[in-house]
Amino acid sequence: MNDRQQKMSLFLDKLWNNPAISRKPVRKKEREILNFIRENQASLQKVFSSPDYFPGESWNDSVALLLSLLVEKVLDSLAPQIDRIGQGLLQSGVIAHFDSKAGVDARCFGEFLTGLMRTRILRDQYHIVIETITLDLFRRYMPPAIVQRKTIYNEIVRRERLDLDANLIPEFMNAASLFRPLYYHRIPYKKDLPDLVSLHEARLDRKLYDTAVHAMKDYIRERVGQVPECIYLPGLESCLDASAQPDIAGASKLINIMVNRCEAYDPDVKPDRGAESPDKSWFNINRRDAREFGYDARMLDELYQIAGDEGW
Amino acid sequence: MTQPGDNSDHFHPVIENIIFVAIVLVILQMIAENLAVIYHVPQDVTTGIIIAGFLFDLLFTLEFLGRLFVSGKRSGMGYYLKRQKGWIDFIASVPLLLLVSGPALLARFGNIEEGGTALEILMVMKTAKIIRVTRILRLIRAIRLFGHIHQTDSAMTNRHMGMLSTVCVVALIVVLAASHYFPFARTGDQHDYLAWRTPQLNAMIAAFAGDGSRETLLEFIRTNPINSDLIVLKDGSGAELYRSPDYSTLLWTAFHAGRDIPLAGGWSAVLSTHITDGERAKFELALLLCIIGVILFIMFGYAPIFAQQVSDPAFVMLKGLRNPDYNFEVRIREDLARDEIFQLARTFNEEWLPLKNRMRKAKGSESEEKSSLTMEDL
Repeated sequence: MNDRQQKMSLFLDKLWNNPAISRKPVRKKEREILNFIRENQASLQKVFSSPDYFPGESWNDSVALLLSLLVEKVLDSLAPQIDRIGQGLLQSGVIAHFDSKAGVDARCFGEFLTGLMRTRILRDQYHIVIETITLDLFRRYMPPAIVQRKTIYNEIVRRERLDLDANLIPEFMNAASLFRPLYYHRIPYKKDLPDLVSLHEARLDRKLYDTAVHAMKDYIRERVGQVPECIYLPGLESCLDASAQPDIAGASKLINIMVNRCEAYDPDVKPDRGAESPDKSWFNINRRDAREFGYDARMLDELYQIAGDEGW
Repeated sequence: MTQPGDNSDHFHPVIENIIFVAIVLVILQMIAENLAVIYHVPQDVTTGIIIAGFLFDLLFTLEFLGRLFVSGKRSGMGYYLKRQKGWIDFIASVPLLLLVSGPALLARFGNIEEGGTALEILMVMKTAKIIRVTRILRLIRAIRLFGHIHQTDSAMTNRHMGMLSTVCVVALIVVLAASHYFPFARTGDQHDYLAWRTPQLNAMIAAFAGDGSRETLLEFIRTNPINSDLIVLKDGSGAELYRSPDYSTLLWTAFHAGRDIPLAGGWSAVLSTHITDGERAKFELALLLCIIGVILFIMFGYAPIFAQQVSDPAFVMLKGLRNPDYNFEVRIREDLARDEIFQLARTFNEEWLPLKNRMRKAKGSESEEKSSLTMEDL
């Protein structure tokens, strides 16, 4: 690390370790710092052009350095979680259950995720997915849903003929959700042509969408290995509107709900006396606009009922 | 002038804490004062209690004047007297100092046998006895302070509990004060007692005046507990027939400041008020305990119910309206769903929160949030 990078790194450390944000999740820390840079651009310009920092250097160069170091900082902070998730995914035996020959390496998978997270849009998506897995939302809600055998069980297990041990279903959901951000990842979809498209961009053109899905399958096989389609496809399709496309997998619908639930979750905001529990409130608020937000209303009903029963 | 506020009559926290302790102590002093009358404890103990009562009344009078001055500068005396229950502080301090504890102290250290000023003071004190119970109103101040500790989040609950306690305590005191004017309802009234006691003494004199010997009369007085209030008995010639063995202890509680009470046949007696005072003290003690019980019930029994049914839903809605990240529904009890507050809460849950959620999604949520970091942090 050269002198210039060291100076900026120290500057970034001051922001990163500031007591105002030091206890926040990585996703919020990054957002806070980006908002801080935006809000204080004029003052920062003065600071960076001062003799103590980078005299004579343009604002664009300084801020580019700051942002690149911020990305590294974020990725370094998430590395242990990514490793843990990768290890957990492979050790759980979910992938092996569907395809005993599937060869996925934990280290490669971690590197694949880290590589994707260098892109801002994918990093934003992965932040939430990683938080969803870390918060154990699937492990919390799946057991009661399996016992009740209502919508969630019927949609995920019976309809899809999911032949998995009940204990492995939350792991399956976690694994599938790791592929959700790829919906926004732009990849080449025409052979030997540099044109890029994401599934999100292609969603309105059926033919293009099918082509993009096909290209994504090849991309995953190349980069990650032989991951069974029944794992990554529910993840990719979880970004689709469940009310507009009711035929998508039940796992996709549940992943969509849970990831969005996690995005709105703020551990610092606690309910006061007289307020409903956080999950119950969120499910009830969102089931009123389920159609608008592309959620499965019946799943939200069931999750609302589980959250109420469990006091979540 | 500053904007009127709930804290505009507040002193420094240290002084407020001292006042809180004084309020607790004055309640104990009131209990001790009544117990001293009931058990007719030695005069020096009673003197100590009287001095303590005077000092407390002096302290609370200074507190009242201090608050009046402080709020006069901050939000106006009228605001303090009307809105911040300054009138309670007044009733529970100045009249007590001028009409009860002050005269009691003067009477205690004056010579009552000489009559004069001390005697007149005692008369004033006795007519003002009824206002002694207003000391209980100091509890209201304690409730206000305690309320801030117990329901820190809800100004409405604090005020409501204070108001309810004031109404209950004032109602009890008014009933007690009113009962003083109904002969069938009053307890421990000295005039009633004297009216009841004088014929008894006349009957006793009549029984022994003819042929009864002095010894028989004295024996009758000593063996009959009802005569424990008799301090001195004089015959028609003014000769002293009987003097109580507790003369010095009883004299300072004598009717009419120790002057003779005329009886039949030219006889006269000096009577002690301690029996009737004891009855009154028992009544006041019962009232005090009743008020403490009511206040404790309001604080610990009713306040949580009020909070649950009124202030908590309002607080959650207020926070949900103000704070973009606070998106919790109000818990609605089905059995109270028709209450206006819960109807409002239902509208908040069903209309406002989903609307807020839609606005949040449309806005792109966090990207527009203000950063918690500032340049000063660097």
